[in-house]
Parts: sequence; structure tokens; C-alpha cells
Amino acid sequence: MRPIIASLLLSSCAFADRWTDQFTFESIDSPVGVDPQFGGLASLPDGRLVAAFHRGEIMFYDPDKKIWTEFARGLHEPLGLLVEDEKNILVMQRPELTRLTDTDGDGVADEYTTVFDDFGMTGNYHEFAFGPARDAEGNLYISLGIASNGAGVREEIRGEWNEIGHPREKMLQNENWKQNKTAAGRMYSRAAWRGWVIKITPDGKGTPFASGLRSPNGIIVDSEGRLLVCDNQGDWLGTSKLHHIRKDHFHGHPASLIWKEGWTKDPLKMNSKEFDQIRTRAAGLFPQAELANSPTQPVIVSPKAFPTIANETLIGDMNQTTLVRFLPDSGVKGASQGATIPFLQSETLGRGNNRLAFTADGSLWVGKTQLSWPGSQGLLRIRKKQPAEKPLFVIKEISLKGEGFQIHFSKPVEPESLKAISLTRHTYNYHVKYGSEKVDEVLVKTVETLSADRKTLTFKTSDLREDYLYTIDLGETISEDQQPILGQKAYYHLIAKK
Amino acid sequence: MRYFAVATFLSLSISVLHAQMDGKQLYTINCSACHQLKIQQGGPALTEVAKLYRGKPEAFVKWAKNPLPHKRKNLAQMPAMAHVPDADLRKIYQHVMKVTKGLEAIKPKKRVDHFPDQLKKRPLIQRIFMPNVGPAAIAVALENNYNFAFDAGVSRLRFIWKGPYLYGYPYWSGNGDGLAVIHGKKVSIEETSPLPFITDAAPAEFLGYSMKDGLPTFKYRKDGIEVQERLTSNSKQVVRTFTLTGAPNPLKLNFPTMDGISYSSSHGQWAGTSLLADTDKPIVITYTFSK
Repeated sequence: MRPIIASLLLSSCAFADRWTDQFTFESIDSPVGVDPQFGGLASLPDGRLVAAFHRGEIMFYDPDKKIWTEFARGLHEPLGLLVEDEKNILVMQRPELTRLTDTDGDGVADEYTTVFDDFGMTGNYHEFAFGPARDAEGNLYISLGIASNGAGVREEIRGEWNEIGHPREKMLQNENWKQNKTAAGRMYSRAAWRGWVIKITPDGKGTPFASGLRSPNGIIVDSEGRLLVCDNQGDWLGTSKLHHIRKDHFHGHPASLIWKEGWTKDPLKMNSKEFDQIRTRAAGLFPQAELANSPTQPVIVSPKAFPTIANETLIGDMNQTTLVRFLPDSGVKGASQGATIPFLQSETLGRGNNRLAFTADGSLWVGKTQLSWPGSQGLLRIRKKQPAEKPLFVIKEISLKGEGFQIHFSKPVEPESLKAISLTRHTYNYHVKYGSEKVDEVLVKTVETLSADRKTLTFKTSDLREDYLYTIDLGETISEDQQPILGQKAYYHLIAKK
Repeated sequence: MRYFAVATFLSLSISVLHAQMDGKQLYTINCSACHQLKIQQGGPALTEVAKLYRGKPEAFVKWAKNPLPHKRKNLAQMPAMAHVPDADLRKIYQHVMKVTKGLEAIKPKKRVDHFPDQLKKRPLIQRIFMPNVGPAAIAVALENNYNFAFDAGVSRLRFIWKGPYLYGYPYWSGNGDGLAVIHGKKVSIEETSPLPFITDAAPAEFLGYSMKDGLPTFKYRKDGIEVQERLTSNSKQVVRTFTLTGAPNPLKLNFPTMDGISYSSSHGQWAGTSLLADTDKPIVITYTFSK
């Protein structure tokens, strides 16, 4: 009997929720009478939260009093918030970037100032607008989604129509759309700057900054100044991506190229090789169905909340019950690349994790949405259980070396637990088709070594290939003090070798 | 560095690894986000899928790889499962058939608006996709059952209607592929701005609006001329005020000729439905509706 009990215990340990052991997940009551689908979430200096909802309300939440109060309403699908101060809040809604100002101090916005609306809209539902993110100089960045051939365009559009592509009369959403939709392209950008990131300088002037995006639901300037934008698996995206956006770069989805100065060709009539030569690879990849299907907002981790991973970038996802950390590898010259790792990967987290924010007390808040896609609704508050200062057992760093990968842990590893680790690699097709299978997936032959301090694990291999995603599986690795690893897999996107 | 282990496998195809995943696991990672066993949530329930595809595994695989023609109304479009190999899709098929065995497909309930009072009070302002306005539409509910549509894309009033305000659910129920519905009667329609220096081909720049007493004062600018425009109402009238800065003085404003409307103003000379008025003070136009 004894051995059987022991093995049962072991297997139940292996499957216990390591995240709920160390974090609390608390569901917060939504405001009464408000459709609780979260399009925006941010914290205020005074410790309150501000949230944007699907039907256009902007509301404050006071975590101490547990009270919601209305700041503004009537907006059009707000999908991003940036707090300037307690009386000035920027909100990105479908038609424009707006500054909401409480001029008389009664807690309610009375000025709705258009900060930037110099971009086109065809009325297609998929033309969502995201942001803003702000850099150290005070410039703002917004990202604009492209249209889906799930629908056509409306008769009346805002801004210029681009003639490259299917004739306009065949793009109209009417009874003929079913016949016309295939020739329209799976996703299209016929109104200005759809699929682009726009930079807006403090004087309110906007300039197109970078192209090649599909559904960029998430934009941030990270703690080291990188402009990061998430994009969704679909046509031209074999799997979802985390882009490091750089000025004048093309980030891979061709529809937006028709707005590039001097561009004349129809992307639908071009070969994928032509785009492959000019595209910038994504810094991080989210393998579909494993890590994220529809990545959302990146946020900078508050040192107060999770000191072990302070100032890292943490990202949400609509479909998977996990958040994702991004660990850039700054050691590779000429490429921006890094690893994605699950965080808070628990059924308790649930789906639909659209917007993230940290408050000064060390809470992570997750606002959910679905908009008829898979997801959820409402607000979660996540806190690390006491003691807060006890370090988490996580991968702290992954760097590509000349002869393999070096993984640095936050605590010493129990060497005996490293038996089931492995390294695999695969790539994705870059093609017009929707998504991609894993291509050329193989188990990589490696030699692993652990450093004397047991904090650095090296996978030595000669099988390092550019344009591959390397999956490092740590299995049931535990720390010397018997904590299970938080984030059992890491996905390193190798764009360039060291 | 302390040596502790040597991995000795050769590089080998990982299909071996995939073979270890059963239909349930494959379903969980690829399908469960949208397809629950008995209820429609995101996509149709598995019981409905089983009803359609029992005994037709190849049709199921074909559908999963190219689901677009099967899109169900009011649900999001299913993405193609191109990343899932055929063999795995067949395993998912087997799993779906197994878990639904003996279960009956229940027709999904019609979705209802859980927040039907959203737009019931007045005054109110709402930006939303709606008919006969550009995509940057703004709908405003005045008192006394008057409403108007302003188009921020071309910075002008589009029409005034009398009756209920808006039904927003057709837009809000999904991902935006729908228009809000307006009932009621359009009592004034404008094809162009009354201000002669603004055209739809060369519209004014929309600057936003201020809220006072629950109603917006719109602001826009063209060629250095700043305009503030506000509409209010009483039981038979809509009162429209233009406050201009930097405009020619006097200025001719042109209003549409429509049955059932008569115009009056705070000052200026009317010729038909055109008004020549001084612009150094707010121009207040009163629409009186006879019907």
C-alpha cells in the first residue's frame, strides 16, 4: 500500500494549482447597470482605478470603499486609458483619442477634447483603435486595427479611400458581400492608416510611425523604452506576436502597406517572399492554443506587487487562462528577440483577460471582456500571498549564447528535479492563410549543465536556427526550498544568432 | 559549472509527442474557449456540433479547417483550425462524439439585452455606429423626445428626429458589426452645414465638446474660424445656438427647406430659409415644428 499512496501524493502534487497556492484571486463587484466588459483599465496616483466599459462609460473604483463612480459616458468602444492626472484622462475610442477633463473639480468630466482623429474609418467592425502608450519624451502612440472581411465597408466613411484593391462598390456591406468578400482579402486596410502605429507629439501632431499590424490590441512603452505591440494570430500571422515596433519598419501584415508613401502594388497580388524580405520579425511569439490566442494589454510589473519580476512586461490574453511574461534578450546584436513565459496560469484566472493595471498597494487588476468572442467579463484582483517579499521561483533571464541557451533562475534549483526537462523547436509558415501549423517541429539534442550556485542552467546545442521558436520545457522543476517552478515552459524566438 | 546530466536523444520528429495528446486534451487547448458541452458560449454547443456531424468525420475536419461559410448569425466568426493537423482534428471529432452521446442538442436561447435601460433617460449623449451618419457618429437625446445626430467626421449636424432615442443593442450585442436602431420621425435633415465656409469635401476640424446640464456644446474649426454649436429643446421647438470666433461679419447661414419647420432667430434678416446675421454675438435659431 505504501508505495501506491506515495505515488498518488506525488501525482496530486504535480497537478495541484501552484498559482492559487501563492496568489489570491478575488472577484470584484461590477458597477450596477453597466455592461461589465472592460476596454480600459488604469490606476490613479491616489490608489483608485479608472475603467472604460464596452458601452462607453468611464468609471472610478475606490478599492477601500468598494464604490464605483461615473467620470464620463457616451464614448464609442473605448479600448484604452492613460491617466495624466486625477482630472485629465486620455481615452482611445473607435473614432478618436480624447482627453477627458474635470474642469470644475466635481469628479465628473465636462470637457471631451479631441486630441487626435486624423485617421480613417470605413465603419467595418474590426477597425478597433488601441492605446495610447506614452514614451519618456511625452509622445503618445496609438495602434489601429484593420478591417475584417467578416463584413464590408459602409457607404459613408471617414477620411480618404485607398483605390488599391477591389473596387469600392464591391466593398460595400450589402447583399452582394458574400460574393465579394474573398476578393477583398481576409483583412483589409482601405481607410487611412489602418494597420499602422501613429506617433502623436505633445503638440498634437500625428505621424505614421510603423506598419504591418493586424489587430494590435495592446501597446506599451516598456521599462527600457521599447515600444511593444501585440498582434493576433490570423492571416499572415502563423501565431500571435509581440512586436518591438520601430520607426518606419514593416511588421508583417501586408494590408497596411498600401498607405506607405509611393506604394502602388496590390498586396493581394504579390508573393509572400516579397513581404518576407522586408518584414521585421516579432520579438516574441505566443504559440497558438498553448500560450495565447489573442494577446491583449502589456503592463509593467509593479515592484510592490511581484518584486521578483519587477519592471518586466506582463501581457494578457483573451482565450487562454494565463498571463504572459516577456523576457527580452538584450545580448543579441542586430535583433530584438526574447522569450514568452506563462504567468498566473490557472483555471482560477479564467479567460477574457483584456486589460491589466497595478495599484500602489501591490494588487494586479484584470478587466475582462468578450465582445461576442470567447472571453469573460468583470474585474479580478490578484495579490501575492504573504509574505510578499519571499521570492517567487521563476526564470529570471534567458539568453542565447554561441552554443545554446542560458537560463537564470530566481533561486537555486533542486538538481534532482531537472530530469524531465527538454528543448524542442519549430517554426511557422508566413503566408496569407489564417494561422499556421507548427512546422518542422523536432526535439533538440542538448547537453545540460547547472552552475555551482545552482541558479544557471545551460542547454548546450549545435542546433540553433534562425526564425525558429525554441520551447524550453522545465517539467516539474522545483527550487532547493521545494517550490514548484512558476511558468513551466519558456518560448524563445530565435531571430538572429549571437 | 557542475555537470549533471546528458540528454542523448537525436533530433526526432515531434509527431511522436503529439501522438500522446488525446482528443480531450486537444479539444481543451483548441476548442474549449468557444465550444462548451451544452450551452452556446462564443460558439455553438458540442451537442449542436454533434447533431450536424455525427457519422461525418471528414466533413467535420473540412469544416474546422475552413469554417467561414458556416458562420452563425450574431456569433463571432470561427477562425480556421489550420494549425491543427488532420489526425488531431479526427481525435477531437471522436472526443466530441463521445461526450455528446445520448445528449440532445438544445436550441440556444435568444440573447437579450441585460442593460435595457442604458439609453432610456434624457438628456444623453452616445457615440455609436448608426444609420445615415458617418462612422464618427454622435447621437444626442434632448428633452421632449427630440434627438439629433451629429457627425464628428464632417463636423456638422446630420438630422433631428422626434420620438424614442436609440436602441443600441444591435451594435453592443456583438463586436460592432451592427448599427444602432432609431425609431421615430426625422423632422429636419441637413445635406450640408448651414455655415457657408464648411463643406463635406473640406470639413471643419472636430475639436470635441463641453458638457453642461447633460448636453454637449460641439466645437470645431475651419480656416481659423472657431465654431461652438449647441442644441436644446422645449415642447415644440429645438433651439440651436452658434457662437463664432473669427468669422466674417455678417454671415449668411443656409438652412434646409422642409415641411413642418419654421425658423426664427435672435437677430438678423431672413430671406426664405437663409439668414444674414451678425457674428459678434451668439446666433440663436429656433426651429418650430408644426407637426
